[in-house]
Amino acid sequence: MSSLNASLATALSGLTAEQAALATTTNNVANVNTPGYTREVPILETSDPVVEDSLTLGTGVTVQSIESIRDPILESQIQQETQTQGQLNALVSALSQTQTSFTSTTGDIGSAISNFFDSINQLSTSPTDLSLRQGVLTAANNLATAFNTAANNLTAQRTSLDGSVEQTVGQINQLTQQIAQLNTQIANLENAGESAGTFIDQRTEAIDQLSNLVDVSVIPSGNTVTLTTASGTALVAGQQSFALTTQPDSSGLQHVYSGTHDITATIVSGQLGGLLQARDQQIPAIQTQLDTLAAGIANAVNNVQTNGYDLNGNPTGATDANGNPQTPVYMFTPPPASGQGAAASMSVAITDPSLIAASSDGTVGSNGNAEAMYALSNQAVISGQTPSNYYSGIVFNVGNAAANASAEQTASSQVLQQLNDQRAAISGVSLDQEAANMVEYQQAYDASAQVVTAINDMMYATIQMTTLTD
Amino acid sequence: MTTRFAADPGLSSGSQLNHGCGTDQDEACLALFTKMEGSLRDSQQAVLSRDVTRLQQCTAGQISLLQELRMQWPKESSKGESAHDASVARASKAPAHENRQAADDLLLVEAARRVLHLGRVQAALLRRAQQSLRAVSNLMAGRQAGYITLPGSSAIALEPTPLPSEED
Repeated sequence: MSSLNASLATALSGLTAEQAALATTTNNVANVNTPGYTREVPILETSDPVVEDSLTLGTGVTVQSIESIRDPILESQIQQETQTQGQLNALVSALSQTQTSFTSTTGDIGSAISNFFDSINQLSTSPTDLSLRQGVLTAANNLATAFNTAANNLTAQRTSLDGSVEQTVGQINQLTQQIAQLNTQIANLENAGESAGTFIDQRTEAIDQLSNLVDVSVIPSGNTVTLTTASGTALVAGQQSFALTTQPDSSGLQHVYSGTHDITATIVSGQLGGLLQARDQQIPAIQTQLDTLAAGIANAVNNVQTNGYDLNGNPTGATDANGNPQTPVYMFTPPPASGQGAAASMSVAITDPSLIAASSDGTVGSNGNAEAMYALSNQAVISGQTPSNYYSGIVFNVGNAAANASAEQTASSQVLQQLNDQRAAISGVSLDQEAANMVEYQQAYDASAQVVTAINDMMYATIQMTTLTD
Repeated sequence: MTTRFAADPGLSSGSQLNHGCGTDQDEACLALFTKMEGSLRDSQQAVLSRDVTRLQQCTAGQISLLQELRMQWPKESSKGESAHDASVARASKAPAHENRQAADDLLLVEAARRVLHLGRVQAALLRRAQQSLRAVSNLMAGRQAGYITLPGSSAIALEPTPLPSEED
């Protein structure tokens, strides 16, 4: 009887194992459309055998565990590409906005430069004409306004990016907290010998989201993961998360801190990396170029302006007709010596059109200085380039940066799509495969049930035989 | 001085349209651009799937298309204005018989832009593929690899060190 009972137990273990396998398949099928779900498979193991006399008898099957199918290298690649994608998304968005400031057809700096020099050219044809003089002042004001507008737009964009930096840090903190909590749940379940597949899926999803925001390195440690930034700043260590903070610097821009360490410069990837790159590198570079252009034009025009004579024959330089010192009559308010902020602060210093120094010798009708001023349009007065060419270079650089970032973004999307497809092929649920598994498990279950029935019959027969013998 | 500034660096003064070119020539260019677009999309798929043979075929096709384009593409440039701006301006101002030419120009410029973007994407994908293959080659080099500097590059690559022979 003991061997029949043992056989019954063995058959029952088969029923239990196939039931567990069917439950796994059912769960897989139910989650076929769940984002981030990783298919599970039952890991079956032969139960420990028993030795009876000289025989070693099997005792059936046990479900060792339910495992999720993951490729850690692929996961790591996806996380890295997601970081790149996040960075490029932020960068492309910022650069597209910047580009818009330089492609408007009216009121842009390029047109304003052209119009300003055109107005001086017209003045040189009739230097005493007050309406033409007024035209020069109007064009100069338009030029200054164009610079002011462009500089203010860039500043506003930096401020907006700064707000996004703060917001992103908040999102990072929420996710790291969530991941630390999931680490706790996973550790508790796995320590109790239970499957934590669902929580691992949630953690993977959260890490993917975090990768989109910041550069993350994932270091598995036991049944938890440690997350750091690429430069090694801890974000999550086991069951504890470390919040990042933001603090404004002297210029009011938010810097990212881990504890007391300023890690702003070390964040290069993810959305935060892209925002910081646009805020601290791309836009300041354009601002510097704009300042150089504004300061260059203002200084060059002022130099010529202070070398001539106004409509009344008075010198406009640092000395009057008698050689006594006087305040020079500038066309544009002199820019800061460093050039910094020149575009934002550019303004026209004179309102009286007669003060424009069109004359080079003080005689009425002289246009020598006006011609010299117009000649600036074709002179390499700004970093070895004409004003128009220098501006053209700025527009080119902005367009080039935006176009390259956009191409990188498209490439990154394609690579990420391919990696996600690969992950789906490995970790996703295939309904065909699950259907085949279901049939297999069902047949195995039926077979085990048949064995139980057979043993039941045998036991019945044995009991009957015992009754008859009695 | 009525200079306008091209915001798309790939379409600045060097590649502007000669408005005197005929519609047949425009159509031929457009057809070549369309083929180039298709070929670039194919080669992008080839890079992603690491299909070197297909990539080589696509690249050969692209070189041939580029040569044809060079023959068809108008050489002279309109002065100062970017092709796109010029086409838009003409389309809005020109009389009806000129509108068709302007519209054709616009189509060409848009097609050129798409090809330019796809070319940049292709370059980005190739860079990534190169990085990825370098990583794989480093992994395959194994533990005994030594560090060497690649010629013409500051990057460090791993070079497998030959295993000592049994005679050693």
